[in-house]
Amino acid sequence: MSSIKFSVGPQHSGIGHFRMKITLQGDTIIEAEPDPGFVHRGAEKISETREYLQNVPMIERQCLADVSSVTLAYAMAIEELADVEVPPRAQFIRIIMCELSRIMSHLYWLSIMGIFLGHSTMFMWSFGNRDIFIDLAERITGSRVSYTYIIPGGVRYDLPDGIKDRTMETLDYFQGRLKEHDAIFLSNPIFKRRTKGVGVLNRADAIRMGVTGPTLRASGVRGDIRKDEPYSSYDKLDFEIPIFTEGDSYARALVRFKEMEISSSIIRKAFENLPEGDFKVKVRKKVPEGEAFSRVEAARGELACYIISDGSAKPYRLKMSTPSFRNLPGFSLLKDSMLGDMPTIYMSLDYWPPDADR
Amino acid sequence: MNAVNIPQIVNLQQLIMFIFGVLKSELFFKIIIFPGIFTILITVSELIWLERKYLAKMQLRVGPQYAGRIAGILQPVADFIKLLFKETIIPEKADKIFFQIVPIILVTVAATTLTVIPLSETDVISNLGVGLLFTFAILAMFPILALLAGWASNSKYPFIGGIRALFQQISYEVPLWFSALGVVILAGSLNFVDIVRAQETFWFILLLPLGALIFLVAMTAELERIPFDLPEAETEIVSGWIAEYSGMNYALIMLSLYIKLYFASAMFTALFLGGWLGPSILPPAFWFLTKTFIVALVLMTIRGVLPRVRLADLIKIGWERLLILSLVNIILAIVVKLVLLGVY
Amino acid sequence: MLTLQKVNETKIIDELRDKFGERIDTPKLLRPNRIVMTVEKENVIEIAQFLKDTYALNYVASVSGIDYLEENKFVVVYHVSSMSEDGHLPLVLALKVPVDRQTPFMPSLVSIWKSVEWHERETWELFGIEFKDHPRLERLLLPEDWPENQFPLRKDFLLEDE
Repeated sequence: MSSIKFSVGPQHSGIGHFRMKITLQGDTIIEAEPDPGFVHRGAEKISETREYLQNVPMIERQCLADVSSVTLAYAMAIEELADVEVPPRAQFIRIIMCELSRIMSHLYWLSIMGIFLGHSTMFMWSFGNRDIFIDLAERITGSRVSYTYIIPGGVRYDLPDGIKDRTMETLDYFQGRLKEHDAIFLSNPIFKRRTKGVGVLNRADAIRMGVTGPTLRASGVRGDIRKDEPYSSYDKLDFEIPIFTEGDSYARALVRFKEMEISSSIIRKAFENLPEGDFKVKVRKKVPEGEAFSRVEAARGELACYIISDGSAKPYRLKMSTPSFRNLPGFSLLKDSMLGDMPTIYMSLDYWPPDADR
Repeated sequence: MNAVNIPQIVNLQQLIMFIFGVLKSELFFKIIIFPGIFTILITVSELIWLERKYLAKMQLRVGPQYAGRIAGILQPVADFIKLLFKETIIPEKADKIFFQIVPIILVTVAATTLTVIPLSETDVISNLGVGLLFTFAILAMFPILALLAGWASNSKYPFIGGIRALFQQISYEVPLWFSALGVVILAGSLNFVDIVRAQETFWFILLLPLGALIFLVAMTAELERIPFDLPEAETEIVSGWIAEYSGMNYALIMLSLYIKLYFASAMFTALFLGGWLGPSILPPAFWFLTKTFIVALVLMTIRGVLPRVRLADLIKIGWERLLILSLVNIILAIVVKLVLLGVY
Repeated sequence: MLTLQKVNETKIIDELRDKFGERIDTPKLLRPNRIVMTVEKENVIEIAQFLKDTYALNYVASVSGIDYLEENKFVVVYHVSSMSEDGHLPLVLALKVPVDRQTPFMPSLVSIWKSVEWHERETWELFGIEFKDHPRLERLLLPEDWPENQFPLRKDFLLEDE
């Protein structure tokens, strides 16, 4: 039987700046090779020519759906090098921003997942709901998507007045809407048929491949940096981590869906326990010589930042190990699946091309 | 010279008379104005507008707003004009003749199906004795045309889409046929006017709810609409067999698809919803179009709430479920017919 | 909750010192849960295997190359952590491997940690460090028409505005 070779992307509707070289035999994918790099900016190289603070807006653009976690990892590494203790209020504000980012990122994922499976209503609803969080972020940070809010030493501004009530209103509305999302999409029998048992990744393989984030947690691994190595006062808040053992696309979807609810409750708790005090401490322009490795749980998984400082105002070497890049081995799940399952598996990994390319 | 010119003038007069005769004839009116091309175009453009507006309401959006002042009612016309002015790109390696001829045939064929659908007892272009058979014969052309479009594009995604369209439509034509066969058994005719008249006591949807359901599902697959839009699945195979089309050709294909939607809803109305039958306060054609739009709304609702099915499930639903159910439906139709005839 | 969380870092350092002696250069504790150590590329496979078998360090978080132009060497850093059913181990061990700058090569660790495959490929592409026995060292992030022997993350590769 002859096979057809074609590339999915980089100009494919739906799949971003990313290509998969697919070999198809009949309707079965016999080979799938991801080809990232279409949006490679050389962020690690650029960062060596800029000062520490100047790098914040540059690196946060690698994952616009989830900017807070990226900047937080970077800020934490610098704080470790400079030996700075972040004030508790800033830590809680960071939690709030990170969880808002996580919700926004997952909503983005949910909408694209919807349109990938031909469900345009889910696409519109999720983007509509993401907008209310963008409005909220604008209220807090003054910027809608790339807010450069978390900086080394704390956050740039204190929370505005009345933001607590506004956030609670937003969350009340959002949590009500989540139930509708569940009813129309995740509980939809066709959605279950399309995702259950598709792209199964077992626990041993998940660890061996080094996948991270919801992809890992859907395979029955309780891997979440927020619990395992708590940063930014996550240990002072009580929350649970959704774990599923099936390892299929449906489990990965459910993990993200549950995380949106849990993130909402974390934001509520963070506002209740929000301490008074400073929101920022000064970090000197020049960072002492040394090295620091920090990691945070971004929406897509573990994001690690490794900085080597030579004592100057610019990093000697900055390495971002991003979750999308680490989930690249997950594309081997496409092998032996049907062409019709390709969007499901692709989307269930929540791959974000600029996040992998940097 | 004069000797030659006189008969020409006479001929021209005759020609004009002939043209006037044609223009005044009832058949011409039927083909061009009502229920022919003009009505079809208006209905279809309103269907497109309705779909956009209705989906927008469902998805908490506004939808078209400006064209035509009232709720963007002229948006489909504006879109069509926009596509008219766009460059028509023909891929270099495409089979140029077939590539360009397919959209034209598609629209022609789609419009042809509507000639036998009666908007009322008299408002039918061609009251064919075997109308239902005729529509199915015409319907069988669509998969071939889709495959032809995919093949003529000489590109991988359209080709996969064309093949998908071919086997999807062929596998769903069988249950579609069988579910319509139940109606034929009850009505005792293949003529649409007779079928509608036979529903004066009971609409067939009441007698054959299973058949109506099968017809609706199979028709959705035949129309390549969500949840059975695999031949056009954007995220899997870009736009399937339509992927390489642009400009006018694309507009014609979309037009043919919406004519098909109108035709499918009209056929469902005629077969199961009693066609033009309704209170005589309003003209019969009004009732027919209202019912047609309601059927189209059902199809649009399905599009709004369901994702696309898997390819394997598509085949399974077609051959394992629908086929058996449609056979059951025929048996039910025979039983109902016997009851109606008073045998039991 | 986590049994692995009670890892004693100083004990690990002592054990490594006892086992490998001179072959591991200055294992030290950077801060709690962060161990840094340097090994020569000749020993790296054996030590990596030992780390994986003994301390269940099976999960590589990142592989970074560093260019020390003045010292005329590259350093490849493997940040290895541990992952089990119950989650991450808070311990992250940075395994540093110095590589000569003129003939940059080192053995690939794909045979030990499957997950380093993509990371090593990236390091190969951006630094020109060859990983022996790597299954496929092919272009990954850079454009297809990128010139050979140009490695953007090396310090002697200058950006236009530098």
